[in-house]
Amino acid sequence: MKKIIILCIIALFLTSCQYSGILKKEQIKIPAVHEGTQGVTLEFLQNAPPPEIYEDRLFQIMIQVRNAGATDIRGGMLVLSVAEQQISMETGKDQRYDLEGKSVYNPEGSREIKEYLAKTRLIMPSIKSQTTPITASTCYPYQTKATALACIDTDLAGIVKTKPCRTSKITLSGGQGAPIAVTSVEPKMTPHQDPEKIIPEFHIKIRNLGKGQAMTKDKVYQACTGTALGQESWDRVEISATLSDKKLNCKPEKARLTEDTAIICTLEEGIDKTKGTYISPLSIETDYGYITSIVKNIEIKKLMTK
Amino acid sequence: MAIYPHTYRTGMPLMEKAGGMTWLLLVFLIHLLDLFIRYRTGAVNFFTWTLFFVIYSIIALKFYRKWGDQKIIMICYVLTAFFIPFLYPRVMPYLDGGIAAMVLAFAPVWVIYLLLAHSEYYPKLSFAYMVFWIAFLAFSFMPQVQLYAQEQGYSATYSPSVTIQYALSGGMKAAQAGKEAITGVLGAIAKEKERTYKTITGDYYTGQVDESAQRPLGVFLEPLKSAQQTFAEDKPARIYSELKAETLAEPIKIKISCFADKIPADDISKQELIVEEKEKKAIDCTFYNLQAKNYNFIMNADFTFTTRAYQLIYTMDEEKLRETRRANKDPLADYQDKNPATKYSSGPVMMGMGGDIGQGKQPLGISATEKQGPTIGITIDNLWTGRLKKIEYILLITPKGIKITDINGIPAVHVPECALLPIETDRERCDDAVDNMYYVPQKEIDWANQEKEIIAYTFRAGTEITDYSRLVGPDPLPKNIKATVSYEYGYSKQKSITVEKSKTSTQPAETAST
Repeated sequence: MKKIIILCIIALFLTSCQYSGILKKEQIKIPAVHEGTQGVTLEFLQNAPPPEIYEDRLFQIMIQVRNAGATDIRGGMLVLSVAEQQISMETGKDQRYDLEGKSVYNPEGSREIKEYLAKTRLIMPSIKSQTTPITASTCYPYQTKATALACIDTDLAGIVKTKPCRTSKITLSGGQGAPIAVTSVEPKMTPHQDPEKIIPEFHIKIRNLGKGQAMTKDKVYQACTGTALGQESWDRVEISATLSDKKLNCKPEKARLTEDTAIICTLEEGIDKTKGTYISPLSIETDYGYITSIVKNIEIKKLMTK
Repeated sequence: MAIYPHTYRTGMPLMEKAGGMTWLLLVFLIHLLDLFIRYRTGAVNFFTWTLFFVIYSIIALKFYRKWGDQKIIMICYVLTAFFIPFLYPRVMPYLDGGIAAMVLAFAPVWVIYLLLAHSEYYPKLSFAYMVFWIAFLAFSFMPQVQLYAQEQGYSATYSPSVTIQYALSGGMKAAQAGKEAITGVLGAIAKEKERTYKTITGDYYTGQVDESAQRPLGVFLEPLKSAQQTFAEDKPARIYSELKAETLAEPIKIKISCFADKIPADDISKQELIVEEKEKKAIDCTFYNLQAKNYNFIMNADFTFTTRAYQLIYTMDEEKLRETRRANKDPLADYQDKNPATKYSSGPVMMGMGGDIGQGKQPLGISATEKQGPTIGITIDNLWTGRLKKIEYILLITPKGIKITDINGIPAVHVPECALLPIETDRERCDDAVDNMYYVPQKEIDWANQEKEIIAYTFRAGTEITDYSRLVGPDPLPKNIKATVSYEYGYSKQKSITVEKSKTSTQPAETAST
């Protein structure tokens, strides 16, 4: 019985210690800005446009544009497409916007509501209702910034047994606050012409994890007009990378996005073997234009006069 | 050759019985499908027969030996079942509405055959089926016999001799109806042959009726009726029917005519009427001085009607389309209706669109450099049992950016402005800023009208891209190709009635001579 009482006292003591420990360790959570696979998100506001509307009626179309990614946007473009034989636009179809991305001070990202005024046309005689889609598309320049701590191992022959790190594949899951994401980095150490140096090489894999389509950043506004961009423009991104502030040579510089796009970045000047094995920050930047759309169907009903 | 004798065998293995029952159930299932698909709207839908008849035929022919039938019998009753719908509309008017529906629902040829010829598999069911029909027919025909007896002046309405007389008279009428039905079936076969040929050669485009109207539009005649089963020579012969007409657009002009064989009616209660919206009207046709013989009375309702159709198409840059597809992405992923069908307004005529547009061809790639646009194929077909007599005009509307150049090689007639369209409702709905309007050239229409009856008329329109920028956007752009056809349509109902020599009319003549 004595033992049980002693155990209970010890348990009480331990529990109280842990409780006070939590209080002490409580910290302010820093928003994860460079996370997620979203860039700009579009959303039709409720009843704008309404799901059903009579013919020959004015109605509003309101779209919430939100920058849910980590890059600030200057001069994003929002374009509304309607079947012009069924809906006539009373206001212009194109609008521009500037939106700040997510940051520590703005963890949700900025948002703006864009308004349009449209009018339903008379539908065909003998037909009581017609369904038509309304599409909102946005084109904007964007950037993905990814960082990883890479292990630089100058000991190619593996002479040193105990090392502070090992060169192994780094998987980056969940995105970096942009629709195009770096999914993995695989460091490889290769010999340099100078036997006292090694060349670090990084196999970087990137993917489009968003719902839209990427294009070269110089064609971003052209993409919103629907005109032909050329095969060399769609699904293309520009890549640059630095290793501890030293610019890497990336090939190809303009990569085509596929399910398994790999870019190889190397530090051609090399690293002295004397530096041994150490961890170094690797920064990867991807620049591109991006287009994404949403569609809402509305039913235009005949106003029965008969 | 039959494997099983057509007698009831008590010692039949369970497997065989089960097989026979499965076979009957399959037949019932096919018949139910037939009823719900071909007869759904009360009129025969000729376009939805192929699949289950083909399945049924394959199963039937594959297992015909196993279930003890000869190949030829199987072929015969599959074909009979298939052609029955062509027969029914011609025989049904001679039967009462309730009887007609019962016959249609419970007396398919193949069910009768299976239940009678293969009663060894389901003896109790066969017996119950026969009892049901005997009882049903007896009760159904009793009031008719009574009516016949009264008309003939018999006091004993339940006399067996009157019933036999009625049966004989009914049999004669049925024989005549059957003769007409066979002629009708042959005509229907010819039409179906033409449709099938056009479908096989890809020259037939289909559409879906706009269901938002919820009820069929156009002109309908109820089965022709007469106050008496037979007419007397010295009395006026009067037939009547109820005409129903409904329109959601322009008024329908209807002309009524009646004939006894080729003799026109002396008096028609309403020869012409204009229906603005919805109307029900009793139409009576009276014939004086008809000589005694058996006549085929016909009531015709000829009317002008307009059917409209539209096809939603998505247009996008051809190169972007290619690249999207190369990346294994669906260019229409965000759209709910990825494969829209042609929708046409309810009425006697079907309009379908195809060619380079329509189902299976979405989205339409637009080239920035090439001028040639999509070929638009349009089929106009008569869905009802009446006659599509004459096409007045066909109007085509394309979105700005697509120009129609020719119709079957003949230059299309461009309508420069909406104000020139013939119907006001069309003028109100047209916008010069977004629509291009064209008529199918009269020469082409005259060619189609040469046929005695227009069946599955198809034409193809060549197009040109005149404004690439209006047809491409950041995403596929929704556009509409519209077509309007105005036509004359003839709908008729007929009934065979005998004009009998009058006993009272001969009496005064004999007196005078004496």
